This record gives sequence, structure tokens and C-alpha cells, in this order.
Amino acid sequence: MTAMVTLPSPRDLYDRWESQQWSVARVEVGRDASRWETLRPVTRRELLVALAELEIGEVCVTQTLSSLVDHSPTEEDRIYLCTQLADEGRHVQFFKQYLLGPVGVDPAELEQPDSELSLLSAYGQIFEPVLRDATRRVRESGGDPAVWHAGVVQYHLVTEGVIAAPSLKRLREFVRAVGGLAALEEGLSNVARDETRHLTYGQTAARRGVQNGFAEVIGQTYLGALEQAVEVLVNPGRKAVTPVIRAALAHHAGQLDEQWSVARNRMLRQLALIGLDALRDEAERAWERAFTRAFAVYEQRWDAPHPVPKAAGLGLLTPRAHV
Amino acid sequence: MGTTDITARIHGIISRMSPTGAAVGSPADRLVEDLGYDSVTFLELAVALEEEFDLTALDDDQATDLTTVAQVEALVIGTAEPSAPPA
Repeated sequence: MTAMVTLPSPRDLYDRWESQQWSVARVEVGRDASRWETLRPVTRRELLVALAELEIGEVCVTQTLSSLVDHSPTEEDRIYLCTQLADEGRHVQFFKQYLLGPVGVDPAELEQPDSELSLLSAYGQIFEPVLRDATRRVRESGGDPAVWHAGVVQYHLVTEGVIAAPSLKRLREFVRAVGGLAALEEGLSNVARDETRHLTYGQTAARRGVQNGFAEVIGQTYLGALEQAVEVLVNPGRKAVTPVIRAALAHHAGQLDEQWSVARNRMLRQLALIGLDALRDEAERAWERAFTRAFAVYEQRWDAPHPVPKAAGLGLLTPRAHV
Repeated sequence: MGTTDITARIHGIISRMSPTGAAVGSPADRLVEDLGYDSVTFLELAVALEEEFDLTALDDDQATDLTTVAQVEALVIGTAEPSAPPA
């Protein structure tokens, strides 16, 4: 048996939080406004959808974290989770100010659940109900430890570790490639640093849970959430850019596959980190099934294949995220 | 519309969308090295060409690598040739 990587304690993560403070005001989002006016429609649309997705996700996690705080297993956990709650509120403010400022989104687009942006959000449509249900059950159970650990899995390991972190990584790379969006680069860098603390906490708490008799609920909750996590990544409800120029299709599909590959690696690495590497094969199978299903839903919805299987079918891509 | 007109329109689009503002000088110009294209602007160019020339279906013989302006011309005009080696 190999030695497990040492994970920081909640107290260590609290100390990091104190030393990694930042402020939305100091990012000065308005400096990106002139660049947004020059963005071409394809790039503008890609950025807008990605930012709206993050904003909707951040609002959800801000509204749902309190039940995990209230029923923390130790005071050290509670104090750490309070810092995370503050972070999530700050992220909401950053994305909201950015979307309403330089991007120029109508406030109603962010606030109304049936707005076009809200309906385009895969997280809002697919995973938000799962997270709200998981955290509601924590509250209704009065903090039953098994239910609390299931909530941590849905919140930290799946939402933040499998869905948000790879999406944030791809968005940061995309923003760098677009260029001229200094405020967005700075803000996303700050958000990513916070998110690293958050998902590290999830791994710490889940590993402790595995060691303290909650391996079954943690493992089954994790495996059970993968199908919806993959559906969020593929987002069958949104028509993907599908170039008919082969070189562009190959390139675009390759970028999506790269993002999903990062998600897959994180999904498997988390299992090992929390002490459930024995579930690796089962997780890989669930991951593959989820992609097959999501691609089928996409094709049925749009009467055309998703660009990734389309590129793979034409021999333009050898997928790494699903095999 | 003649091939010359189409070529001129292609050159106009490639020049207009070049991130560095560089104009197409010759068909041998390379999109990345000479005209400053990157992953983002390449996708934008592809979508713009599809819309401008109503490219709606993948051609089985279409080149899978677009390195030069000449290859873009060949693709749009419908006489795509095998990928040229990098200049």
C-alpha cells in the first residue's frame, strides 16, 4: 500500500485564507470595457456563456453552504467553512459586477430564472437541484454525519472539483488567448486560488470521513453524481459551435476534449486522495456511460452529433476524456 | 462570381480578422507565423468563412490542416489540395 499524500487541516486552510485575501473593488473590472467592445461574436458568446455559468454556480453554492457550516463535525471545520462562505459571496460579486459592467448584461438576465442566460446554464439546469437537495437533507437530518459527508461530496468534490475547476482552468486559458482582458484574468486567478482551498478542504473532510466509517456513503454519492457532472460538462441543452471546416472542427473539439480530460483526471485523483482508489474502475465505467448518454441526448436534441464525437468519427481526434 | 473575386474576398476577411492587423501579401503567407493567428482567432476566421461563403457541409476531401492563405483559398473554392508542408 502506498503512503497517502498529506492534506492540509482545516486550520491550515484557514491560515491560507488569511494570507490570500483579495478585493473585487481592487480588480477594477471597468478597465476591460473597451476590449469587450472589440470582441467578435463567436468569442464574445463563448466568454459570456462561461461567465454566466460561473455566476449561476457561485450563487447556488453561496445559498447552500450554510447547512454544511451549521452542522460541521468540529469547530475547526466550522471556522474554515465560514471563510469559504465569505469567498463564495465575493465570487458572486466579482462575476456579477463583471457581467453587468464591461460585458453589459441586462440585470434581468442574471436575476430571472427563465432568462436566456439562466436557461443556457448547464449547472443551473442539471446540477443545482442536486446540490440544493443534498444540502437541504443535511439540514432536515439535523446534521446526520453520513448525510453531511454526502453533502460535502456533492458540494466540494463534484461541484468544485469535477465541474468548476476544469471549467475555470479552460476559461483562464481562453481569456489569456483572447488577450486584453486584464481585469478578468486577475479576477479569475483570485477565484481559482480560492477554489483550490475549497476543493482541498473537501478532500480533507472526505478522507477523514472514509477513515471514520463513512466510506460507503461517500463512495456511492460520488459515483452516483458522475452522470450529472458529465452532463453539465457536455451541456446537451446548448448547441455547441461546430465548424464545418475540418481544421477548425479538429481544433475546437480538441479543446473541449482537453477540458474533459482534466475533469476525468481530477475525478480519479480525488478518489485516490480520499482513500477510495478501489472504486477507480467503477468510476471510469460510470464516466464512460455518462458521456455516451450525454452525446446521445445532444444528438437527439439538435439532430446533429456533438462536435467531439463528430471529430472523432471523422478521424480528426482521438478522445482522451472518454475512451 | 469568378475565382479572382472569391480570392479577393478571402484575402479581405483574413486581413480584417488578423489579430496583428497584418494584410495578406501573398497566398504563401502563413496564418500563424505571418498573420498572427492563434487558436481563438482561427476559430473566428473559420466561422466567418463559413458564413461568408455558405459552407454548410464537411467535404470528405477537405484538408485537415490550414496553414497558409493558399490552403484557405483552395478549401473555399472547393479544390482543396493536400496539406502543404510548413514553410
